[in-house]
Amino acid sequence: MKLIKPFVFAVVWLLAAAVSVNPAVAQLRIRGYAEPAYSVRYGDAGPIDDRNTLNETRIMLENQWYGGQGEVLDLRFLAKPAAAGAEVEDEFEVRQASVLYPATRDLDVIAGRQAIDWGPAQYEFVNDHFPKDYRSFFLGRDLEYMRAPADALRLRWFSDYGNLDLIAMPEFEPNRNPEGEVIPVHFDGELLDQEEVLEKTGDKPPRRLPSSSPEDGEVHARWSENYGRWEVALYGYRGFMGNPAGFNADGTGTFVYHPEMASGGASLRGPFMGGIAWLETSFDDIRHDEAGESEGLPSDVYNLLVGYEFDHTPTVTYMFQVHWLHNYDSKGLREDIDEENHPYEKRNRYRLQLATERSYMSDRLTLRARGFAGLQVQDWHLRLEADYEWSDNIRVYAGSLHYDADNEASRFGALQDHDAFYSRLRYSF
Amino acid sequence: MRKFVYAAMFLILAMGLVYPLAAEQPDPEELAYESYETAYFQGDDVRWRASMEIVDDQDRTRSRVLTILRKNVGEESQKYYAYFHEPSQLERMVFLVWTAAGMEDDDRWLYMPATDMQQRISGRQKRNSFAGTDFTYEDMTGRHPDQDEFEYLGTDEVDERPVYVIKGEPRDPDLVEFSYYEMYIDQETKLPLKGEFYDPQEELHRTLRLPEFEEIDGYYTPTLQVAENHSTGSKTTAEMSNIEYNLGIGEDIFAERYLRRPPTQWIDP
Repeated sequence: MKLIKPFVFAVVWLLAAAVSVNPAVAQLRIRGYAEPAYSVRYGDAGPIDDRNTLNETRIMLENQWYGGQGEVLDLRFLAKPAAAGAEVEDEFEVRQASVLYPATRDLDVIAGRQAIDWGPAQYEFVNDHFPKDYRSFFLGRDLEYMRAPADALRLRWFSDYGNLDLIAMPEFEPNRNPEGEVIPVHFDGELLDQEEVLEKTGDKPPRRLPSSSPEDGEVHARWSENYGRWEVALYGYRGFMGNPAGFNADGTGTFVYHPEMASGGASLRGPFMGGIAWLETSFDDIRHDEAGESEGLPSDVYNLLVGYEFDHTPTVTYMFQVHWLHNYDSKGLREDIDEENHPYEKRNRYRLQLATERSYMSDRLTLRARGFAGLQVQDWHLRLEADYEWSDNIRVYAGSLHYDADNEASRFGALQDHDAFYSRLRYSF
Repeated sequence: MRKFVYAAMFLILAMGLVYPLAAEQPDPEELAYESYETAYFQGDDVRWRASMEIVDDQDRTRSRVLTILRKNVGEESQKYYAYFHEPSQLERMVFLVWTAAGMEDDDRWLYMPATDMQQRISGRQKRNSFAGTDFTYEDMTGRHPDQDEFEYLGTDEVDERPVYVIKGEPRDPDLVEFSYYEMYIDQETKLPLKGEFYDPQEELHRTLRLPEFEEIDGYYTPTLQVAENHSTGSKTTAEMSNIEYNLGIGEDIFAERYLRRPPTQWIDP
């Protein structure tokens, strides 16, 4: 099964290469980048001894072929060859293998593997229920990897009444969360590595996914329109929680799963006092527990997020956003877990995000700082990064990741011993 | 009566001497508007390819190659679409800008292929670097004359061409990094051949030059522009080519729909 996607991709790639032989579409050429990266953990090791959390070279190959009628064939292929002597296997991933076809003057159809995102917020996902790769995020990879790809059929309709996006994903694609390989996970009340998790679950998968049938797929919808200089958007979603937030047990042990979910929301984004402001809200309805008494189900959540970004000077930018999450029907869960000792499950949670970016030398050097924090309990994450454009082809990144939390079950709790330095060098071709 | 006749004759003579002198001194505000219209508003729409080379104070070079589409919308509004071809790390990057006279900030959208994300970005700072070059956003879309007060300084020559020299002082100094600038406007074409920007210490910190231009489709059009940042020692040279006016570019392509996929009827990606 694992080989099917690379095989399909290879066929598509060969077809695309064959197309490139045609002088009429000779503009087809492969480009991409190679990016060696290295990171080392300097905090206490915690349950995982290995201090080297990221030692890899990622190779991205991509091409876009533009047809005469506006159609686009978009291919992006990511390879991560295993280092010599390493125990891990080579990894290949099709990041994008899609065809965009303008079916009518007002309708684009995009079919195939694609990474999609929406919503105005920055790295707080209120109405964006597309799969995310938090593993990459916490390891210090480029933020582009935070958007995980999925197979989807996307319809984009542009009209005088606004733009409508409808996306059907035949198979649920979960978020990619740390599973204890190099970052420990909080499982069944403890901080464990992958082997310990498997021991606890009797070697059964600790996480159970919805079936791969289309009935267990996902549907995303977004309508947006500009009113004056403000963009108004409405959202809808039907599928499953991206994170395995439900827990249960059977004869083989404890396991976590992705509860069914429906969500609706709205957003507003536009210029305000010289910067850009945004407001986003949503209600996440966790299905099949209207009374909120199932112990293993998380509660329904109301989200409200307010954000603002402005250029203080031509080279200095500031951003802040506050995210309020209000838990509704969590009676069973809250009774079971004792809120005082599990502040992560408080009825109201507030998350703050602050960011600043400063550029020097005509944008050649950029310094970034981005902080995420829970406002009620100690639970924060800070990312510092310097990004230097060495030449047209080479860009160098160096940064550090910092975490602290009072409780292992909180958002960054499992990562509190994971402070790390990282560096990456991207050669584009 | 004789005194009155002498006085009247003197007045007529004086007016005859003074009036032609007054007529020869152009209105600096009018010059600024004329120059702005010539440099940024010619034709209904235009497409050009800009090849930029950035050389820093240590002679290291970087490049930017982009196709720019511009469409005039109404009397004083414009829409810009900039698609990057090079370098490879910026290939497929798109800037979309809606700008209008009297608006403090532009509407700007950015599509970054590296992250495959499109986002509306702040358009207040028009004086920040355009894509890492020594040009600012305002150099690309023009600084509207109603943002400044002008003073006529006289005439001079730039590249052996006679020019008018005017001084512009920002009405709101908090929005810009310069305290004033001097603009050298070609007397024949009204193109701004040189602009010198002075910082609050009255030191020259930035120069814009337009060493080459051609008449294309009946419009005087810059074909070579140079921006120098004297504070950093960095210099960007932009060569313009494939310039075509009045192609009939539709307003619909200046929209988010075309951030991820360039309008291939106008841009060869």
